[in-house]
Amino acid sequence: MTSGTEAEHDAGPAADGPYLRMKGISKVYDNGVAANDGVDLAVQRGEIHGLVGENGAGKSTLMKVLYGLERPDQGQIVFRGQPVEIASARDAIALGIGMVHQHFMLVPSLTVAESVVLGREPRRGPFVDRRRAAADVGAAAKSYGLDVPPRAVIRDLSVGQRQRVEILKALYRGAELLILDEPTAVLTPQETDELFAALRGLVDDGLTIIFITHKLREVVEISDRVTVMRDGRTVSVRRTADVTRGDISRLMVGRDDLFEVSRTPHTIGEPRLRVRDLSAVSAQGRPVLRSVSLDVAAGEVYGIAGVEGNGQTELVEILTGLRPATAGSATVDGTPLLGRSPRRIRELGVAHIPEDRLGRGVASGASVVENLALDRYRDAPAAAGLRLRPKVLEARARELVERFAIRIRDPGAPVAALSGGNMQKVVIARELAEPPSLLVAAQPTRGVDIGAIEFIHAELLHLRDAGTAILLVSAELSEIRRLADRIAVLYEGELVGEFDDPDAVDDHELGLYMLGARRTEARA
Amino acid sequence: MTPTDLVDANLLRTMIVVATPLLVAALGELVLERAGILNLAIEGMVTLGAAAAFVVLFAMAGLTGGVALSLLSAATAATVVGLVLAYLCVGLRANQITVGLGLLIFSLGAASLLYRAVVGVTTSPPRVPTLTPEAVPGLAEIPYLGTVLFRHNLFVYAALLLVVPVWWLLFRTPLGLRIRATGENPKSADSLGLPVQRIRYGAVLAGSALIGLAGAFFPLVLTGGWSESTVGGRGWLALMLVIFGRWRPWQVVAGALLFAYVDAVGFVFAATSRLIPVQFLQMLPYVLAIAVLVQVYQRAQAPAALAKPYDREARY
Repeated sequence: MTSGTEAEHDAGPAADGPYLRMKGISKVYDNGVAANDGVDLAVQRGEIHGLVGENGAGKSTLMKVLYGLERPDQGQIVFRGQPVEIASARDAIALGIGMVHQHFMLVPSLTVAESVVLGREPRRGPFVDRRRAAADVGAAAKSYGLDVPPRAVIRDLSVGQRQRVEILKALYRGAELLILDEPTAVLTPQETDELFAALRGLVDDGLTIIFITHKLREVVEISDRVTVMRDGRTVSVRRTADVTRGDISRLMVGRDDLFEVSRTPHTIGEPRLRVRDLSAVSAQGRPVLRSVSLDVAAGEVYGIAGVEGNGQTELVEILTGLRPATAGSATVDGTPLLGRSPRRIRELGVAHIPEDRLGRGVASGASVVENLALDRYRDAPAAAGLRLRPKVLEARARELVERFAIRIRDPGAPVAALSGGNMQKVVIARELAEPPSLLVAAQPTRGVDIGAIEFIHAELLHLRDAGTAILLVSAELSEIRRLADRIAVLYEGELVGEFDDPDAVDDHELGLYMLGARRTEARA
Repeated sequence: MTPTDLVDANLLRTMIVVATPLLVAALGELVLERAGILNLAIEGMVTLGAAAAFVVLFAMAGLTGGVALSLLSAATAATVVGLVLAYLCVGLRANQITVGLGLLIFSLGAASLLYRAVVGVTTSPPRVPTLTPEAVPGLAEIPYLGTVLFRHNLFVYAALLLVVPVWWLLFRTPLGLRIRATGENPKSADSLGLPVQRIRYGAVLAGSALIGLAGAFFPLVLTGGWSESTVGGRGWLALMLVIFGRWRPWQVVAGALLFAYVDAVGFVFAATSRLIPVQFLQMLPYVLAIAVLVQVYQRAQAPAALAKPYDREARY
């Protein structure tokens, strides 16, 4: 056998050949990035197979190939002992393969039942039999333990419910092999537990599941075997019982020298950011922030946890001048923020790491040099009168590239050519070049690799120790845990809980707050 | 002009007649937009449909089958433009605003060309007889309502009732569900194995045919003639009505009737009042359109993928 041999040995003998086998899959994107470079994957019938790797390791691409959404340049797929051609999702569905995408594929205006039956609707004459659709979907939801009301409109559902709809969609189409792409990324701990229970039930019913994640705790908890990918290749296949989290982590990153950043206790200073009774409404007039009050002190990381879409984005945008508030106040070192333009706010020493890196963090068509100069092109030394001084900008860029370990050959190259992690480092380098008095960091490590995460976390803690007040908004509870000195939870635009000692509250309890099932009484 | 004039039976009857082309064009545009395609060529397609219908009526003056053939040619002319729109916007994923505006100018030009080629340059523009209203036996004699509702020709009724099949198609049939899914989230539709491109092509062609038919109402029912200004922005009004109706067929009908009413009031005023210049009265529907849109647009929920080309392998 060829390169798959090692994998076979690791995984133990296969009884009668694997259920699914992908051999030598290669896919090069138009921009020249080889997302998959001869990947092998073997999945046994009835197992939960973990597929792990860093962002950009090629997991999603491999699964899109399996589901017919990407055409591989090379490689072969053998499913149930038969070589198969999967040219579209239609082919995959016909073979009994279902996929739940990381970014949900739902139509907000449809009902649950409509979403599930879409494409194979039960009919009465020329019309959709809506009653039967609702009944069928309700029955399926019940029997699979995926509770969701069939007549509800998708727009009104929670993220966890939407995911159940996605799984129901696949099962309704007769999926026997279910692919889940980062299914827990958006879930609270409780929702994750419920999902895992449902998945175990599905496996008992005879399903086979491929579970993609970058969260090691989860892969260890739920999977029977695990395939590790790195840089577009399969690195290893193991029985989950035989490996530790550390083993998987080392295989994913490809080196041993992972360092763990950790907070050291230290004294915090005076409050720098004071927010009082801040409220805001959406463009549709719906309240999105309800009377939020909080303080962030010098030398403190204040972490805001919560399911996305509960007002985090709006809070960040208001504090950085990108969105108006309807009521309340916010001050930095005593100076009011509200009503100031983003530039005037930045001039107060407020830095912002935006959650939407490509939309707001960088100008992707502009060079690294230009991106690093975006906030200081007006004054000396960068400008002389009306003229920019490119030499000064370049020298500064080189210094920042070095200091923030941005991996590029030419700072004159467009930012779009960088990986997610390096792009984020460009943002961080610009925002943290001079220590700000307040840093508003929204999802600072979203979509970046482990190495960059470690680096960014270390930078944030370093700033904290130097006296910056940091407001950290993150959907990753583990990130909040690691960095925050105090934790607050936003639910439906309200601060429903605030914990001065993060160690006094566990993930499960935070999850209850995030779901709105629990709240502390309003503080005086 | 007294307050009772505002609910005069003949005024309301005029409203219904004036509403028909708006209604048909708006329902056509609705089908397109529900599939995620924005058609900015609509004004041009209505004008072209009107010209195509007129030249057929003119050339076949009095022959049997002239009306049917004029409808067919109006629908066909607009569908050809729609095919180009579909090929560029769906097939080649071109920017729908650029393509729409380009085809708008093309259609307006093609309409004038068609007219000149068949009719030539004349000192007094030729006319064809408009279809005569037919009283529905019995019902037409009902006081007031009989005049408002039951003294129209067949095509007016057909236009008014068109909303029923369009609504049924979009909201009760499997195809409608697929069209709506395609317009909201083509990636989702694709991942379920639905043929996104085919659905969009079909919606564009069917919608364009309706938009062309709307044009035929001008020579057939309203004016009996054709000129560059016959349609006079009513295509744009139809585009606006889709937004006004929040992409729902029944609301689109209600909007069409409202705007037709304002239009009709303008006619009546123009005939009876010397105080207000005619130009101001003709302006009324458009002023109303702006006022209403400012209000409605804030809360409108357009199909999420409207005007966005779909490329399966596009990266987020």
